[in-house]
Amino acid sequence: MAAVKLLNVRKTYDGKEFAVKDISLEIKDKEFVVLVGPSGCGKTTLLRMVAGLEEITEGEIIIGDRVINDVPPKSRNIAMVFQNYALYPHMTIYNNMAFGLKLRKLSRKEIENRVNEAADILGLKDLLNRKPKALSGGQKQRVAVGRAIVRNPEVFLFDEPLSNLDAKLRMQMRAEILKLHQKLKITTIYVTHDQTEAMTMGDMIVVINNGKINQYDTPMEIYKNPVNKFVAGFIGSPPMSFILGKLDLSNGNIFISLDKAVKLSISHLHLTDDFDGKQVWLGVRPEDFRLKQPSEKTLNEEIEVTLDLVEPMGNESFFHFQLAQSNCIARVQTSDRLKTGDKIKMYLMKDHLHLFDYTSERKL
Amino acid sequence: MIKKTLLYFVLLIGAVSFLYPFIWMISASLAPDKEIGSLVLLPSHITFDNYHQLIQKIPVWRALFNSLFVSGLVTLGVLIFGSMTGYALARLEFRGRNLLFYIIIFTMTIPFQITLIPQYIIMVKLHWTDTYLALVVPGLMNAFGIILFRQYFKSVPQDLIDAARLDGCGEFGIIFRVMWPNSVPALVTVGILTFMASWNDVLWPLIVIRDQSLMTMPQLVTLFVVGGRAESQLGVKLASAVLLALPIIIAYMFFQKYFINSASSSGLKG
Ligand SMILES: Nc1ncnc2c1ncn2[C@@H]1O[C@H](COP(=O)(O)OP(=O)(O)O)[C@@H](O)[C@H]1O
Ligand SMILES: [Mg+2]
Repeated sequence: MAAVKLLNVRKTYDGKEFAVKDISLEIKDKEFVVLVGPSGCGKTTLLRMVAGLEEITEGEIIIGDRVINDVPPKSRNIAMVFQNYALYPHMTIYNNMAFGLKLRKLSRKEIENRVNEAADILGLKDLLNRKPKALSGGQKQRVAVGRAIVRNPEVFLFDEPLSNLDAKLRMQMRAEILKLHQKLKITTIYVTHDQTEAMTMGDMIVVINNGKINQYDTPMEIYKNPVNKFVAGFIGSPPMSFILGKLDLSNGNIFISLDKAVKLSISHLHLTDDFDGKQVWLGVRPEDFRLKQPSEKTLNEEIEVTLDLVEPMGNESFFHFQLAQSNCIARVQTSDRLKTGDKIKMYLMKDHLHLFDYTSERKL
Repeated sequence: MIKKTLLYFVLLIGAVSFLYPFIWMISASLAPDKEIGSLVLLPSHITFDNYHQLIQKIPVWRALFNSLFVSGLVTLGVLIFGSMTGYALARLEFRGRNLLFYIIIFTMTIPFQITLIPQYIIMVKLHWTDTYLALVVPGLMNAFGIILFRQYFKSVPQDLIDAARLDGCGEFGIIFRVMWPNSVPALVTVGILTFMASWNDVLWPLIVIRDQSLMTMPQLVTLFVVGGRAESQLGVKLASAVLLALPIIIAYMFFQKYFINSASSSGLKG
């Protein structure tokens, strides 16, 4: 059991460009933290530095109360699960799990106990004498997890462990990993590029872009209050819609005009006067577009759009349409009436709108 | 159909022309002396006379042991040191890695004859002539093995190495407990080629060994056949040639089966 602390960690491979730029992060003991970000943003690099597989160019990494910059991987008391499982092809499943324990010179009895216990938890009992080749993807991943838990590590590292599995298996494994974490309560750093995994699994989420932490918070907080346009667009599925608009502040009222036709009153927001006339991004979550019922009375301004595409998902549907030359997606209750090409009336839930500065893309 | 028949015909001719001299050698070595002149494959009766005479004239068993001992050690050395160097060149980061690799490739382009004399002088200075050391030590490493291992190790997934490292393997553990078991085709290829080259080498033993009890099989047989001691007895010469070739053939037959097996089942990926 241990907390993990990163202090101003930087990493460069070629001495010129930084793959990880000044990352500071504190992960509490027993916490499940998800690092999420687009491919190439430096997640793997960061994780490999924690594991000791990659040198730390600058900064410090602390596990428990020990600075581990110069501690070799095998002495860090961590275990890692790789995307491609990385099972030893020449060993049986039993030996795959036992290998690390044998190298640590545990007694045979102890090794047997630990491997059997892990096999029990993960449902691998019947596979122990097989070679990895004879296993399915899901089973291999389970063995990889087993190999990690028998070591009884202080910290678990996962690098996109589910991305080679099909959707259904992925969901199942997601739940299994979470249950395992609830049972073992081992500090976990979990890397993924899939925002769904991040939202559903993390106690805390770290959104990384371009080698930097953009936001570190609980999933709900990140969903509700993204600090910038990148985070807002990355977290949430379907993604937030962004519409370019112009602010108009006059005697205490705030308006945003999206194009000539649409002008919304957003006076409940607090903006200083110097925003008058500025361009901003208006961000709208799919569920904050509401379909206006014919009988419904609302104070919100109506907008009229043409449906480019209707994606029925069962109980709800995704509507794709253009608003002020921007592609937008709405999530609405499925109704049989509406289909592609129809003109519909909608309104925005103004309490939930997000505004981002046009140039810095930071939340206003 | 005609194409296939033709193909088999050509293959058959090829096989016969390769095998015939060889089979003739074996059968002739077992034939009575006066029948050897003919090209017939089956002697009227089989006799081990030639072999008896050979054993009495030269220390064949001792030479066989020497050859096995020397070639075995050389092969082991090349496998161990070649894979270690190949691993370092393929998977470790250090300054001058590429330069080192180019130098190793370069040594392959230097003809053996050029280094022969300097190497001999080194042996003399070390007082290694007429010892096993002169036969074994210079062969313990070779560029070919290094390059082949490097190439093979480059294809091993990085995750596998990282997993081993986290499991507690040092670099030697990674080489011998993870890379080796997953590189059987490379080990067999380098092993066979090194063993054969070492076994068949005549020139180097001729240069550094005079003591008959330290001579390797090909050296002894060569000296015996061309050195006049066979007294133009063709049968005895053939018997010595058979004994020279036999171990290699047995080794090849054994490893070939293994080679095909391992090549089809290494399955590193996934
Ligand atoms: N071994 C390496 N050598 C050089 N550059 C690398 C290496 N590994 C990763 N990079 C670079 O570092 C950046 C971050 O990569 P990575 O950490 O793998 O991202 P992620 O896991 O988020 O997809 C990328 O630009 C990648 O090209
Ligand atoms: Mg990655």
